[in-house]
Amino acid sequence: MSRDAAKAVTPAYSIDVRDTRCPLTFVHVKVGLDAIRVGQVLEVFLSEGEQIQDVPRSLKEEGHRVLKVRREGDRFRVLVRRGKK
Amino acid sequence: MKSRQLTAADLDRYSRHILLPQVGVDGQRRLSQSSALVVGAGGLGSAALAYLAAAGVGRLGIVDGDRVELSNLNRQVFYPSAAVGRPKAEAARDAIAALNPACEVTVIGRRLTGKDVRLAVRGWDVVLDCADNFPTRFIVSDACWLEKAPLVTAGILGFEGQLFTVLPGGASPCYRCLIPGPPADRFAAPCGQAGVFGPAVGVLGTLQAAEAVKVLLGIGYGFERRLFVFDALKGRFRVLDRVADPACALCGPGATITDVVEYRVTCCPGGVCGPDGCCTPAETPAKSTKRVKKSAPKRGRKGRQGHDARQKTRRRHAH
Repeated sequence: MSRDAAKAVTPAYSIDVRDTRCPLTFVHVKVGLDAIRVGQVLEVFLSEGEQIQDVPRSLKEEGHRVLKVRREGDRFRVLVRRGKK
Repeated sequence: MKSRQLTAADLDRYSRHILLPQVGVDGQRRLSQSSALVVGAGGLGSAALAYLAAAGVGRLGIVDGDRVELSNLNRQVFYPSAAVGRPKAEAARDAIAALNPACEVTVIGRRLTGKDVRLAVRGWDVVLDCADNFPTRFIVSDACWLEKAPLVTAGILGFEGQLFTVLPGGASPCYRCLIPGPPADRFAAPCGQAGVFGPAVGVLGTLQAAEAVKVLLGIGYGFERRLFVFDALKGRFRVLDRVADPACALCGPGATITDVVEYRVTCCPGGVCGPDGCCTPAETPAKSTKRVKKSAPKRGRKGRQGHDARQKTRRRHAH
């Protein structure tokens, strides 16, 4: 595995925002992104429904790169690489 | 707001700003560490203060030597009726505390003078000129230029108002490029025309807060090279270009002003009001100040819009 690929799957920080409601959910995701540097990866746990529908889309709109979305039981694990914003 | 970290309550309170990509967590934190001085806590100032406090600007300064009067309350919506008679700066401080207790407030409960204005504006990240008189406007704008403090200035009379921003260090024309000196009698508003449309004051004061927050965050496109003109009666907003005046006595190559120049208004308030206007300014530099060169500023190579911006500004910037 190349160094870059290893970085892609190694989160620098992890947050679980399943107990929050829109739009505060995305505020907490932004706080998580603020805790890491540009290029680092954030792990976010989201719930089914509005959260998994909206958060990855909003992350892309803000210039971040969603690397992976995987269902884990009743939750979703999302890996996002921080962009410049 | 002294803490650098945003609390869970902060995230909730400022969530609608944090969600804006141009603000975000970092911008909100920056606001909490920023400061703004508001000169004049009347209609413009109280609207501006409310939005600056609500936005989470960490430190606010209020300058006002007046007391709340009943006649203020058609436009100064920050003050309850019970505040009538109270020192305005103190009433504003209490209103801010009720709105956002995290804001640290400094009160200067008197009118600034040519002697203390430079010290008063020094160290603030942005200054808002919300004064209701030309002498204060000139000492504040001179002081901001000399102390390199960003200035957001607005003025309104009747239904019409205007706003612009002055950034130090050559980033914009200075205040005097647009308004070289106080208006002559024929441009000054007589007391009988001192009416002011309350909601229009709120528009301008709120816009001052918006521009100040943008300056603090370093985002967007402001009025540092433009003039915003608002006519509430006609429902008209206009934006005119502002250009530097090569003959400007404050920022031009032959500048003669090296310290603030304090003007005195000979009558209003407390003078004899005539039917044709009474606000005759008399230039009386403070003890330490240099005199302005007497020759009228030349207009230089200005575009038509710059010329127009000046013409429109003279009278309305009085309040």
